[in-house]
Amino acid sequence: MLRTHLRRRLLVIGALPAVAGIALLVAYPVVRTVYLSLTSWDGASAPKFIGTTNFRDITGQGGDLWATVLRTIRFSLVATIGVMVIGTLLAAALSAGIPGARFFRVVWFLPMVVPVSVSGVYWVNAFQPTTGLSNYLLGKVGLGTTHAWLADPHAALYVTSFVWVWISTGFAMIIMLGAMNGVPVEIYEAAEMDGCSVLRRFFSITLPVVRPTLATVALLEIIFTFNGFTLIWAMTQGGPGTSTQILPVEVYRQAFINGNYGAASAQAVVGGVLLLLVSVVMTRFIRSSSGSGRARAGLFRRRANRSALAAGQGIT
Amino acid sequence: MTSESDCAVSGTAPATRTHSWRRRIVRRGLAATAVGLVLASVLAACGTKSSSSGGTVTLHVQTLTGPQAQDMQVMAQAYEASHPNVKIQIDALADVASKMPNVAVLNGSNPPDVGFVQYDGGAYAAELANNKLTPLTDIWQSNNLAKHYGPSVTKQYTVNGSQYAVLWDTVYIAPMYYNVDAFAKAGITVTNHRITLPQFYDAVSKLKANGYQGLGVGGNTSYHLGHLVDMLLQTAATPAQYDSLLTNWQGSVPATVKYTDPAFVNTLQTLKDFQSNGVFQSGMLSQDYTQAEALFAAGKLGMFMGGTWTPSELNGSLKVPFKYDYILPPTLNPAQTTKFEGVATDAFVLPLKSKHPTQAKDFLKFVGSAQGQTAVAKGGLLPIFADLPASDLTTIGPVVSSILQDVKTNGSAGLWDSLVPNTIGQPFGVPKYQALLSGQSSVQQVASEFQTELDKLRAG
Amino acid sequence: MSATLSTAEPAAAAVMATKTRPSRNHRRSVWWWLGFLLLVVWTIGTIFPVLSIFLLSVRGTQDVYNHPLGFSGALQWGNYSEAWNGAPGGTAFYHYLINSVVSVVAAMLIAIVLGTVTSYALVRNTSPGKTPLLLRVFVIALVFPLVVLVIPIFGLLDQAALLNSPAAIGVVYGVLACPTVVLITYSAFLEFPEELIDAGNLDGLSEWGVFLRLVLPLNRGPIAACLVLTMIFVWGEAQLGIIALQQAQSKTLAVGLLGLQGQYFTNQGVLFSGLALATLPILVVYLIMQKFIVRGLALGGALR
Repeated sequence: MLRTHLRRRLLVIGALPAVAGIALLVAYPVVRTVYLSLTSWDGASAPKFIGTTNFRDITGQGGDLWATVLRTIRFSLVATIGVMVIGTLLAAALSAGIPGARFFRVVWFLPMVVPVSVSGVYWVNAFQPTTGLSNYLLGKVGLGTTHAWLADPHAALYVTSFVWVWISTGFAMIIMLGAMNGVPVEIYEAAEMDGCSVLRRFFSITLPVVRPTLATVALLEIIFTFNGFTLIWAMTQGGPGTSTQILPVEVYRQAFINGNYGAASAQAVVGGVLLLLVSVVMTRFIRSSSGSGRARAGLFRRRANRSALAAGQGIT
Repeated sequence: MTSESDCAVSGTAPATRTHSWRRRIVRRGLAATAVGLVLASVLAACGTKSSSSGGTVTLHVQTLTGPQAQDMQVMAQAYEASHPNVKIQIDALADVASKMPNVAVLNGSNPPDVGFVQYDGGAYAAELANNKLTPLTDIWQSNNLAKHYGPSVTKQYTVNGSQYAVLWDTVYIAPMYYNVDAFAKAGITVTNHRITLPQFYDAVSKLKANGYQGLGVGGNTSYHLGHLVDMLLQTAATPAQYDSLLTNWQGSVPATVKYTDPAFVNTLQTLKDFQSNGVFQSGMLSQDYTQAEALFAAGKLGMFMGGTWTPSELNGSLKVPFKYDYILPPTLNPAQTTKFEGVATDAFVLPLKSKHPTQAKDFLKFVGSAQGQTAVAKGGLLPIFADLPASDLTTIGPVVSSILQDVKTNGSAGLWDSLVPNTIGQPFGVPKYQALLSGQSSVQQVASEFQTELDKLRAG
Repeated sequence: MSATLSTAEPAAAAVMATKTRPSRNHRRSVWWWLGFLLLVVWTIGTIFPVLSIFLLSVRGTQDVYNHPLGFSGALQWGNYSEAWNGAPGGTAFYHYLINSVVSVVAAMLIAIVLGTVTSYALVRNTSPGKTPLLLRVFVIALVFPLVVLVIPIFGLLDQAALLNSPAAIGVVYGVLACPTVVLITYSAFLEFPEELIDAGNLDGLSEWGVFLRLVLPLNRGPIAACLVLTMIFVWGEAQLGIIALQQAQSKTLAVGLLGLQGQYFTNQGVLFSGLALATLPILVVYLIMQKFIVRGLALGGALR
């Protein structure tokens, strides 16, 4: 028995290869990026240590770090809110058993499957003035065909956010659906007998119960949008001007186009810290709300939210 | 599978059988893992497999996508015909990829045998600054390249007495190709391929009245707006001022012209006016060079700004169904004549870590020979050798021929945003013009940003 | 398969079940129909662009410009052969396709082997405190955006002379997908009846014997989900690819497509044929495997 016990203790070795991989391709790069952010490096010669100069440069006059960060946050918020609202409504509809639910579920996830660069290139063409789909449709209803959506610096960020919502809503929907279907039917039946309307049931039963999942998915969406390079690069490459230049695009530009790896690393570090802060705050929220949700509804079942929480647990 | 595991769980299997069975599984598991790892490493090796096999050497040669790549195919065939033991593998790069991103590739552990850099992209300077290129001075001497290229190009590529690049073609910017049918329909007449600013605005409004959009420009492309600014600047400034701007980034040259002076400010203002007067195709800022070109080829635009490489696209893969000719961008000072701006920006280099330096050098020698230059012309581009016999240039087509004639008659100017250093040149400028046109910046702001960079450069 | 399901995550099973909700039997109000109409609009909005890629892929430039819906115009099947062979001087599409397949296969192999072994080790090991700690490592690894990692990963690949190798990129993606695979399979393995493992042990199977013999085969569902999710992720990812795969012949579909606008195609239809060719394989896999994806995501899967 003792031998078994020892053997099972040693099983943890099985996790080593993956941990080694993470150490090499996540931990080391993070440390290295932090180091590079303190250097001047053109990608060819040896990095030169220059202290916090990069940070002063990107935050100082002429540096546009804060503009980029604000833009990234705006993109992230608009996209995440869109995804969460539509995704939750779609999940609620499926969970309510609308006719054709199976079909809808398969179709609504479809945009997530299409490669992001394909979606990007498709939508760029769809938003072109005079030749694109969006203006074609607007023209059909008499609203003009010359809107240059992506050339308009005020509209471009929202157009790209819209495409993000188009792509990512299916993902949020599926996870929300899992959480909603974990709510016992009896609760709804009881509520219905009490004469609660559909809306009332949605707001006072479904939403409170799935709140931790909702927060988790929102956190994931925020992380995803911080990785939104492929979509932006496929659609606008950050333009017009800098109006869609979110953080990963700016880092790519600085590093691989301008050959300014030090400054790019500094920007990446700021982005990473920001995201880490958001994660910590939201994880706290997820934990506390899953606790209160349990107390309030008294119906928390281990499995109802555990799955989605798996992604959020442990971020502290 | 399932029945076997059921069997194991129920515990009815004889102990000995279970034992060997277990070993078999462990072995099978190990084997599967091993196969997986081997497969993964074989696949990984595939990506980097050695490029020489048997007696044949495969040379990896970088080039640009589009007409340059087609041209390179002609060049490669010509070379392979006389060198049966060499195979040229063309690695075509997109425009952006051939600039700074390529520095990392050329410096990397597995660079191509022959690298391609664009002078105006800053890669050449970055490579040199890090001593990552093999000097090609011997080719320059044996092929007498300084004579063929002319003094200004020689000066441009000579660093501390050595040359590190063999050039390929000459590019003249920035003719605005116009749809002859559209101009005829709109009643626009052009004389001598030149147009004044009022005439230009008039032409655009006539085109629009006839269902065409004005001028196609790839606002999203890293060089295109820069070319337009360059052409406008040429006549917004006096020739002396323009020349001064080409050199005054050096602290030793007197700073007689500033970027906040009227010449540059007027240029930016004109660009801005183009935008507000609807000169460009709609959505210009969100479209790249090829999108704008495709619109022109589809007959939607009256004009499209390009270069001497453009006709080989229009006649080649785009197969334009109409006749086209060229005018130069509007002349801002009627007393001056707008000239073409010539650049020798497409350069081949030999990375230090090239795996076949001898063969690569031999290939570059071919590129820099009369025979190689004839191949360039055969592919449809303009050879850099200015002294090729006319009989070798029959393949470049009537429009490019008339551009060459134009250059002979009127001379050419240098391309300002490619000749000044990167920090003030094209990679710096084009995003500023994009910001200006998208309303994120103002004329004064952009002008003073240029001046700030100039001051920094002069201070060293 | 149904046996697999019951041993996996019940919440995931719930997603699949067609539940009868009470509201279903009620008379449908105007509001219900209005809501349903909105859902239909969203459905058209999701399905149409995908459909339209395929419709436009067989049209000529004029038709693409004048009828962007894709329903009218002559059929030009030649677009596909042109896209397949690449623009003149460009790269043939099949290079991209092969590279994508290579990187996806490498990524799936790495992610699944490392991921499942890790989850099983985490579920079964009795070392005090190790499992929560390691789980936390994987979750934290998930939080760092790729933007923080790309520059050093580029350096690592360069040092290892693995730039321009789609397989190497696949391996990197595989490791990056590992935390997700761990989170999904950990949930699934946790539900795996311990009695079954004990029985296997009593029967003379070692821990890893049980893993290979019982746990893996009986968790085919979640594992398939991981495979498909990894595939979707790697098939569409370009942020690392655009940096590491610079040589034209080494690019994957996702990276190659980003440069597609910059290539010189005879007509716009060819562009859409390219998009269609890139979408078709993953679309087919999705339609066949879609129920695993749903299940896998419900298990807590999330990819970068």
